[in-house]
Order: sequence, then structure tokens, then C-alpha cells
Amino acid sequence: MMENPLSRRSFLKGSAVATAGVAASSMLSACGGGSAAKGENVKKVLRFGQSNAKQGLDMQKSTNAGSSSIADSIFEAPLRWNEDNKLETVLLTDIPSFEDDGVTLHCTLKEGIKFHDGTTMTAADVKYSFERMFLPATGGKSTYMYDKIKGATEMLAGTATELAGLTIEDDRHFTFTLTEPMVAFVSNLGLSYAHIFPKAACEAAGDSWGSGTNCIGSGKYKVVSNDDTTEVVLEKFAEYHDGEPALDELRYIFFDDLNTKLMAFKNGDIDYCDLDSTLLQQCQNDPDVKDLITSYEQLGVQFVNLNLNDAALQDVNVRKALSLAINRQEIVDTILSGAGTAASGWLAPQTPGHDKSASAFPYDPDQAKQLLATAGVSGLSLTCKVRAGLSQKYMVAIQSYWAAVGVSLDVQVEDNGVWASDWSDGNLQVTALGWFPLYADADNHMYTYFYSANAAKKSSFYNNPEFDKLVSDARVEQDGDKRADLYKQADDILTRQDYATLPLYWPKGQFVAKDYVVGAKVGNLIYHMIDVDIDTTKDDYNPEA
Amino acid sequence: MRDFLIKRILQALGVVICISAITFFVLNIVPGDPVRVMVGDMADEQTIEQVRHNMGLDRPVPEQYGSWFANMMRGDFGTSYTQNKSVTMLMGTALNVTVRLAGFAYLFALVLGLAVGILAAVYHGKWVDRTLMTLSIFGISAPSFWMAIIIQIIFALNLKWFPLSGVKTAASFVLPTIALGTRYAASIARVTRTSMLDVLNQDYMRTAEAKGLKRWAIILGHGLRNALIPIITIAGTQLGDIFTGSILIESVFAMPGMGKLLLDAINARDLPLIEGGVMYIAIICVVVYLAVDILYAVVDPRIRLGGEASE
Repeated sequence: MMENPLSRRSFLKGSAVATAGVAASSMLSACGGGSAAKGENVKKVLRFGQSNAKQGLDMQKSTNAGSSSIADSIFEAPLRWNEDNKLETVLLTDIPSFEDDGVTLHCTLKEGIKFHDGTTMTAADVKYSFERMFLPATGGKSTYMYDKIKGATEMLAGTATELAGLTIEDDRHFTFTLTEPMVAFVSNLGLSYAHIFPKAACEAAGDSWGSGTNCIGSGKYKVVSNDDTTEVVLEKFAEYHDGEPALDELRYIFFDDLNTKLMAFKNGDIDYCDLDSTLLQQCQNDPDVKDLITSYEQLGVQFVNLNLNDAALQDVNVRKALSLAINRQEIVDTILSGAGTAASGWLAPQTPGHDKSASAFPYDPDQAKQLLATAGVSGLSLTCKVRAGLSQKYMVAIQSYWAAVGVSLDVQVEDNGVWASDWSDGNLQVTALGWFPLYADADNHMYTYFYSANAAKKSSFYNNPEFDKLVSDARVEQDGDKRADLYKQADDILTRQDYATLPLYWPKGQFVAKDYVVGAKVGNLIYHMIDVDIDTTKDDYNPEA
Repeated sequence: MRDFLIKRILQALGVVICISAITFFVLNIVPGDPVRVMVGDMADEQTIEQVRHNMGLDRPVPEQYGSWFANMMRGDFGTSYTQNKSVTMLMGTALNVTVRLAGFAYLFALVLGLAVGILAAVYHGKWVDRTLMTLSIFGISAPSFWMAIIIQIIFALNLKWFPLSGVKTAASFVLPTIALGTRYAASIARVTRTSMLDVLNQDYMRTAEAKGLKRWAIILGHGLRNALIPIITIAGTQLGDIFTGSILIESVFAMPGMGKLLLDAINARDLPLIEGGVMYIAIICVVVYLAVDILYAVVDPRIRLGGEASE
């Protein structure tokens, strides 16, 4: 064999030199960490970490909350749902109300609203934006929110090119006319799907609108760069119509891996990000992060969907027994690490119609057994198909709860696409999912899911004329208190009389933000940066990082 | 050689066309509605049908395939259902990242693997050999995502030597390159060692030594060249793997590459994007195996391509 040209001594010597180099670099990097600038003249830069929705920033084409988070900093809708879940004006002078006919809605734009390209917003831009939404070529994905505007259906069908139900009086005044009363229409004007685009710029961008820097809105921040894949950089829009924006620069940095995002937060690469519930326990035990966690209530509900067409689930006593057998509080405490509230009905506490007097659904396996015996049911066997993730986790827990009362549950995981088809085709006997309305209004819950015609498309098949009447009446009731009362009655029938579905818990979301991030607050699902500021006097704020 | 190349290229085209047809029809047969995934749980039936019509998904599947194939032959893979962008453009952007990541990782694996394998063979049975082979077992056994997280914690979070994630600078590629390349380097090292051990004991090596040639010139010039065939085989197959198997690494390091693009497309039932991704993998595999066959002949002149008789 060959002789050994590499001695152990030379190897060790080399290793020692390398180790010394490593230590020196490490010390240098520790000592040379950026200088923390403080004071009023320091540039305010906020870096927010989130996953990339990859659907662009044109909210007529995207339905993703991640897209919304960015798009809402750039574009504006006539109204806005703020972080207290209240509707407020943005582009309009006030929140409009329907005329007595229930279908005519007069709106007035604020004066002097500028787009980022310097042009002034007019009613023609509003009309253009809504008409664009209904053009088949646009492929609008949320047209159902606005298709009660007269002429919308015809535009969607390609038989009209103009929205007859949106007329312009002058540059600042325009009127919506609906085909039938729909009180929630005003609320829908506060969603990202109703963003107003500058006609000329949007037409010029064509299919590229919403990607790259083809995003010209009237919002607080305008696009500097956007590679659509790793980062979107915005800067303050000095001519914003409602005062000077707080931040000089706003960066959205994309992370698809939850752990990497959290590490980036700890590393100081980002200042603020959402925190997935799967990482909550880990963060609660991490001294670097635990004090920076903020929890917030969402408007949604996680629930077990029962197929009422299935013979095994048609007896209300069986459904009530299944409800009684579930320990909701234990699910919240263990699986969610506390990130939820055991449900007492369908509507979450912040939603008008929520019944404050109702207590959480009880856990009583003995009564559940009695009810099953009364119903003459023994050896009940059910099949649950769910998507992988959270619903799979809690259905496995429910599997053991139900087993304790003599009900066997086969939990099967389906691919997202397969599940979506099965769900809409009514093929699921039992499933579980979350239903997250876009704002604090029960119409998005009650009518959209459980109105008989809609429930048939969601593997529920709930059909109670009394319930249908209540939610139909609520849709056209303009008095807020009366409307809330109608929904309260509907919720009671749905979840406490008919046990048509089994609400489990109202989830809470959580985020982490450095202590220099001021005003970080989330009302429902979308992380808005509109009211976020930076306290530059804090020691750990370093805009050069 | 020319006939061989023409034959193989035609075969490759046939394979690619077959794969495209199989993928298209299989994706349309398997349960799952891309439109429902795209519009989300809350959309109503009217919107769903409208979107389906706008996307041409209400046409018969053979008709859809015909128009897709005709467009593909012109280099147009269609428009992504979920991202509303040209698949060709999306893949171009993602390839820019993946080619760099896979290229660096492959180079890293090749250089490190060969160096370690040769050193281990030369110092066979010594502590260097034992240490390097133990490390190589560790390299093969450690899952790449685990390796990625560990080196992220050490070199980005604690030492702050490299960026934690992203693709902004060349330094951003260092940790992903190591995480992705280590496993392949370890495999190459082990194969190189075994192959070199066979060669180092051959008579011609001793003859070259007796002629007074320098030691490392003998090892690299005579030894390595004769040991290359098995190394090329494994390195070739790894090239295909490394270009198509970086999904987890791309996800952990927030790199918008092909793997991540394809994974998202599969989850969202984004058929044009899946088709584009499958074509990418098919073409990479076909090209790599063709290149490996040609390399055999270049490295070892005794091997003749195209069925020519060896002397």
C-alpha cells in the first residue's frame, strides 16, 4: 500500500486552526451585531413573515388570506372591517344604507383620493373594478358576494358587458341597484374582493395585474418590488388620503416552513409573524418567545359535520348523544394547547346573534349512553373522512370519546381535492372542518352553510323550514338588533334543538411580534399592517438588521 | 455514435410523449376537483361552474389533452390554475433557483465524495479511513430535512454565519447546498472507496509506482480513471435525484424552486403545473441517463455505443 502522506499531527493542527477561525468569527459576529439606532428620525421598517399564497395580489382572482394581508396594504375597498370587527369607511364618506326599497344604495367617494400613480380615483374606477370582476375573462372567484347587483349574472354569463346595477352620477357619486334585498351587501363592500383599481393602469397591465409591480392602489403603502416568490417590498404612500402612513417601509417575507419562519423571528430576520397552533406549546416554553405571543379570537368555528341523509344519523337523540360524548374542553386544552374556546353554539362570541346566555355543550357520556339506548341504537358504526391536519387530530380524539359510549368511528384521511369533491357531492357520512366567515356577520355562517339549498351541497342535508325562514328573514332585515335575534334563534334550532351539526370550539389565532412592534392586532383571519407602527426607541429595534 | 444518439433522442421523445399522455389522463381520472380546491370551501355552485367553464375544464378530457399537447409542442404549458400565470414562466423562475441549488449541491457532493472516497481508500484500514467511513454512514443515514434544521440552528441562528433562508445572496445557498449535498457526497464517497480499493491493488498501479511516477499522479491519473465506471453510474443517477428531490430543502430554506412548485401544484390539483413539472422530471431523467451512457464510452474506450463490436 501507499505510504501515509497525511499525519495525525498535521490533521490535528489543521483542525485546531479551523476551530480557532470558527471561534474568532463567532466572537466577531457577536461583537459586531448591528448598531441599534434610536430616536425619531430612524427609518421605520417592518418585516412580516408569512407563507406565500402564490395567487397574486389581485383579490378578484385570489381567495387567500395571505394575499389579502399584502393586498390590503396596497389597495382599498369602499369600506373596511377593522381589527375590532367593526365596519368603517375607507373610500366612502360614510357607511351607506339601503333605500326603503332595500335594493338601492347610494354611495359617495371621499374627495381627492389618489392612486399610487398620481391619478385621482373617480366613480368610473369603481364601476370599472366591479365590471371587471364579473367579466368571464377575469375569472373572478368571489363574485357570489356581489352577484345581486343588477346585470351581474348577465355579465358572468357573457351576455352583457356593462353592469346595469351600478350607475354613475358624477365623479364622486354612484349607486348600486340590486335584484333583490341583501343587507349583507354593504358588509361585503368592506372585503378585499371589492378593491378599487385605477382603470387605465389595470387595463394596461392586463393579465399581469396583481403580480410583480403591477399593483397600483390607493392604500397606505405602494409597491417598490415584488418578485412574487420570496418578498414583497412596500413603501409609504406620501399622498395617502387619510394621513401619513406610520411605516417607511413594509416588507412581506415568505416562509412556507413554519419552523423556519419561527427561527427567522428568533434570529431577528423578521419582526412579526403568525404562529401556527402546532408550534404554540413549543413557543410557550421558549423563554425568548413566550412573552411575545399574542392570542386573538377568530370568528370561525371548528365542527363535526353530520350527514342527515344517512339513516344512522337521522334520529336527533343519536346526534345529541354524539354531542354529549365529546369532551370539548379537553380537546381545547390538549390538542390546541388552549388556543380555542369550547363552543356553546355555532356563532362565535363576536358575531351578532351569539347567545351569551348559553353554556358550553356539556360532556356527559352516561347521558349519551342513555340516549342511544332510548333511541334503540347499539353497535353504531360511523365513517369519518377528513383532510390531514388539525381536523384529523381532533377526530382521532373524538373516535375514543365515541368508543366510550359504544359508537365506533373509522377515521380516514383524504387528499384535499378528493375530500372537496366528496363533501360537495354529499358523500361524507361524518367529516370535520372549520368554517371561517370573512367578517362578523352570521349570514356567512347560517345561510351559506345550513340554508337547505346550500346544506345539500355540503354533506349536511339539513332541511328545517323554520330555520330556513329565520335566515331568509335575517338576510333582508335592516335593523341590526332584530337581525341578531333572528340568527340567535336560528343557532338555537340548529345546534341545541336539532343537533344538526356538532360545533366543537371557536379557535383562537396567535402571533409573535417583537416588543418594538406597536399596534399589532388581528380581528379575524387577515394580518393587516394598516395600523401597525414601530417604536424606534426600543433597544432591540435595528432597521439595518 | 451518431446513430446511437439519434436513436436515443427519438426514444427519449417517445418516452416524454407517453409520460405526458399518461399523466394527463391519470390526473383527470383520479377523484378530486381542482376547481373546488381552487375556489375554497365557501364558494357557491354558480361560481364553481363559472370558473370551471372559464378554465375549459367542462370540455371532454381528450379534447383538453389535444389542445394542451399542441400548445406544449410550441413551448406553451398553459396557465396555472392557482397562480393565474404561465406555467412556462413559473417553471423558469423556479428552475433558476433549483438549477443553482442542485448544481451547487451536486458539485459539492462530487468533490467531497470523491475526495473522501479516495482518501479513505488510500488510507485503507487506518484511522482516517475509519473516521471518514463512519462520517459517511452518518451522512447517508441523516435525513436531509433534519440535517437542514440542524445546520440552520448552528450556522444561521447561533453563529449567524449564513442567512437562515431565502435566495437573495450567494451565501444563502451555502447551507441548502450542504444539507442537500451531504447525503449524495456520502454515497459517492463509499462507492469511490470500494471502487478505488479494487483498482489500487492492480498490477498496473504497482508498475506505475515502479516507474517512479508521483504518488498522487498515480492515484488520480491511473487509479481514479479506472475506478470511474461505478462512480459515474451512481453519480449519474444522483444527478437526476438531486434535480428533482429538493422539495424539503426548498421548503425548509424558503427557496422558491421546482420541488416546492410541484408539491404545491399537486396539493392544489393544478393540472397544467403538474404536467409541466412531470415533463421537467421526465426530461431531466432522460437527459441524465443519456449523458451517463455517453460518459461510459468516453471514460472507458472499451465500451462502444450503438451495438458496435468491441475489438
